[in-house]
Amino acid sequence: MNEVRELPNEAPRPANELEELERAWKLPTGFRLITAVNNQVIGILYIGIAFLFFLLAGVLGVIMRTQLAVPENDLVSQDLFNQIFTVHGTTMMFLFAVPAMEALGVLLLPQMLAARDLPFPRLSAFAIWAYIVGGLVFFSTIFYDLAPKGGWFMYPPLTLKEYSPGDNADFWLLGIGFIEISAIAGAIEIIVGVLRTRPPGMSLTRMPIFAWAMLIFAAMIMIAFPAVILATMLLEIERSFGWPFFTADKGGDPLLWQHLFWFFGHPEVYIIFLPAAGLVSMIVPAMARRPLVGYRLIVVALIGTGFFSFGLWVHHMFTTGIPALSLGFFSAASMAVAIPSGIQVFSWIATIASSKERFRITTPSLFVLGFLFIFTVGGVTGVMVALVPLDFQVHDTYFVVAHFHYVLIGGMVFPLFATFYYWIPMVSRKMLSERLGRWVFWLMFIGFNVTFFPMHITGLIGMPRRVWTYPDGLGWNTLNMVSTVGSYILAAGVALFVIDLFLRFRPTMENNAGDPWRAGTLEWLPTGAYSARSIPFVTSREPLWDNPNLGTEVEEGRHFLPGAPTGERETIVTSPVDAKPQYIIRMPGPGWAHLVAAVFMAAAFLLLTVKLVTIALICAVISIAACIVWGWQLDHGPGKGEVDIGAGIKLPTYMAGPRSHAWWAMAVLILVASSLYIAYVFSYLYLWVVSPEVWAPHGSPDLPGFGWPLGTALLLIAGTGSMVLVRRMLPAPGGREPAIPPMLALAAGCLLAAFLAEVWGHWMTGLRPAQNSYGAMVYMASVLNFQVVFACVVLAGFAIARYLTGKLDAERRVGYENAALLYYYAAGQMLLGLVLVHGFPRLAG
Amino acid sequence: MTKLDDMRRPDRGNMLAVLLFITAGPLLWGLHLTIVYMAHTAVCALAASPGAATAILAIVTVALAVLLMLILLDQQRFARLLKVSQEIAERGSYDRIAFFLTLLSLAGILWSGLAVTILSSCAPGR
Ligand code: HEM
Ligand SMILES: [Cu+2]
Repeated sequence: MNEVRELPNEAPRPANELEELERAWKLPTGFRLITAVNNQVIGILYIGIAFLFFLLAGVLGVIMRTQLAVPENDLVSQDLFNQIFTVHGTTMMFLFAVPAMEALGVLLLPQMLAARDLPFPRLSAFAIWAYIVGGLVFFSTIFYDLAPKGGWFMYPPLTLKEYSPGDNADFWLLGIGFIEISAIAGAIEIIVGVLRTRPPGMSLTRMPIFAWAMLIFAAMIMIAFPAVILATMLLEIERSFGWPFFTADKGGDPLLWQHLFWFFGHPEVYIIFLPAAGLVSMIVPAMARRPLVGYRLIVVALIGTGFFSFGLWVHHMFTTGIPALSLGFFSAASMAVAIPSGIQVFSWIATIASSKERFRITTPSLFVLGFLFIFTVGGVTGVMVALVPLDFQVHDTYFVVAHFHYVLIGGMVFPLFATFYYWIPMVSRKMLSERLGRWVFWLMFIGFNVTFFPMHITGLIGMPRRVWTYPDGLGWNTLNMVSTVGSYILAAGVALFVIDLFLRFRPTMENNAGDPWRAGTLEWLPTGAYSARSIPFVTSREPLWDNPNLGTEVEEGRHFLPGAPTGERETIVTSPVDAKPQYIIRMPGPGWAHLVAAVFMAAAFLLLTVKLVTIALICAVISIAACIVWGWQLDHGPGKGEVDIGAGIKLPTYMAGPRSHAWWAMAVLILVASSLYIAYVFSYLYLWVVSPEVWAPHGSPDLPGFGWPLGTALLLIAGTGSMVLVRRMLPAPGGREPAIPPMLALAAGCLLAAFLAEVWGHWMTGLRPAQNSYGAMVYMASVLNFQVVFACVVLAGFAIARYLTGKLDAERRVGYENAALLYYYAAGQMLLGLVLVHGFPRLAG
Repeated sequence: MTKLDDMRRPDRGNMLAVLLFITAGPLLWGLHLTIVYMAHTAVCALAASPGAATAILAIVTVALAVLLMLILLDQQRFARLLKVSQEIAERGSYDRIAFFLTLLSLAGILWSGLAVTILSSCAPGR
């Protein structure tokens, strides 16, 4: 029976191998712990802070419920109530739900993929610190009467300067805009991590469902978040400089905000739900002790939901007076998205029903069952509000509040609690109490339904959302009191959980509680700070079930890369489809640069909010300098040659070009930038449809003559040519090519000149951005161009410095490649902009 | 047990091809959404006839639906067209994922396309 399996490496391993591994991955001690980048450490920090925001925003929820317990209550003032629901909603969505899922990605993904770490450890750490500083400051505005009051979706015109004076709204716009940048950084990390750091043999179709879910989650962030980033930019610019994007009498349109916001906002709920569904798809098989029924169908459902969720945004705007066809079309699409979610629900039920022995009822499985129940109810009311006539009736009532809490708490908070109970043994010396866990579950489950079920009815009988109080005698009293009592029961459940955390949660990387569930996936391998001792060769979806000895084999170092051959942090990079080993990525360890960059960038944004522009700029400069220092340390060069990872496979320790992780990260970043630009193109065309009368040549000064765009285009082409030539001229290692710095400078100069020419050309015609929405849109293109031009100039300067210090040649060329890739994109974006801004009005006018 | 040897050979799978293969259906669904939304907003806003809007939308819906059906009917040829290798691990799984995604998208296109034929295009929704 016991056939001899061929394994990549022989045991016993050389004595010093483990020590080397431990040395490379050692945590910094004492106060330097804040410079740590190990995914287990920063992952726990990340999820811990996200959970803190859940508690803080939860307290705000309970305060709201207390205020609404009885009619004509005056516990909190109207103005404070407005701030409270805005901060509650915003914190829950932006500072809790999305970050919590990214945190789980950082914490769980490398373990599930048996990678030593994610490919850009400092990038994760940067994103986390930026989020912590930015998030805490944002939340604290509630204590100083500085919090935004426009609701979590901040609709103009209410949020324009006229109706929301003061800095309150700016805290939302700059604070949340900034947090989104951090979320995007996390998404880049997750995409490259899932696609490139899987263990050898783990083809796409053998990935744990959670990895699929995170991949789609990150892809959705890349497409959705730029829309809201653009929206916040437009609104902040309108508030600060009066460019009238949203002011109707100057050709703007408040509905543009709604389109941009919901193009992000609807996918957002699936961005929150998909990873949660992925977690459920991991827990259910473990509890049923059998592989997931319909693995492929679940993948189909995840991808399908990911796409479909972008086609629904208009259902938040049914009552704004859009054409009937849009209503019908988006109503239909909204119902259709229930299909993929339904597929998943049936898969889980089928897995539970066909479990080996009996489906184990543990605290995680209770939370999963609770999730199934609550989420299904939320899905049903979701299909109800997708019906236009019903939505007309219940829009902006408590029915909607009930609906989205069923979806969000059911679809995300319950799976998250299941996750806590299920995975805490992986990162803690002790698991949480199963006995207390039952109490936590039942308190939360009952409390939740008692709080939110009655809201369906209060909504149907007419109670609007976002009211700070209500008169007596409308028949709303009892139901509101019941809701309030329920929220206290819910809070008691959460409090009990927190107590259990204090009692039993003891984070550790070496002596974890082990695998109490006997699950099949790799995160349950024995680990240390370096993750698994050796990186397993994977041949199936549940490697630990198919090979019960895997843990021992891995621990004995008989799989891939059992040591640290370069003496530093490293992991195997594999090909994206079949996960064949390609090269060894050398990763940075603890450091200060990313930390300084994060803190000062957060400071820069926050100081801008309170209009301390000079200090903000100083902080921005410090932050950028720190980024440069950080980047300087990344390109290790090919000095370490090749290393043997086992099975006779020798891998290079350096990689440039389309195979390298740096190239992939830049490519993903470019996708993000193009989403941003597409959102801009949409906005331009949208405002033209709304107000063609302000467009050139009739409502605004004539466009500059054809020579302007032509000259600009020539500059862009010349710069691109220069960039291409540099690639050919890069000298062999050790050689010199004095023309390189001037050529790079020329390329950067052309880009800068093209940018200036575009602005200058319009300025000469007498067009001003504050004049009307057309002018605002024309100059907005240059604002977006400025971002990429600035980045290109910095990267070109960086490449020049690399060359001058002898760190850039034909082999060691990552510094050049990143600059070039972004440069080509920048040139492309600006050319497209020329066609739009100079061509479209001529065509349409 | 020679799978380990397989790790020494280069990956035959082309990421982009595989990605396109499995997401072709949803991408075409996205195209449908974009065209329907933009075309009818533009046609209605520019005060052309609602009849024109309905016609454009119906044509787009039918054309894309036919395209998706063709993909479903000869999936293997479509895969060859995209140069999806036969030699990648568990190739059949990709086929099935692609198949069901295409089917789902077809249903999505037909279902929301239906709205086009039963509603008058440019009437305001109030
Ligand atoms: C801890 C239990 C919670 C309670 C007691 C609670 C309570 C409430 C209440 C009473 C409102 C309505 C405010 C109003 O319209 O006047 C509200 C709004 C909202 N809640 Fe919660 N909530 C809870 C958890 C959550 C969670 C977990 C999320 C998201 C993940 C969430 C997201 C929101 C959002 C987005 C709004 C809308 C805010 C707005 O109108 O701008 N809530 N919540
Ligand atoms: Cu929605």
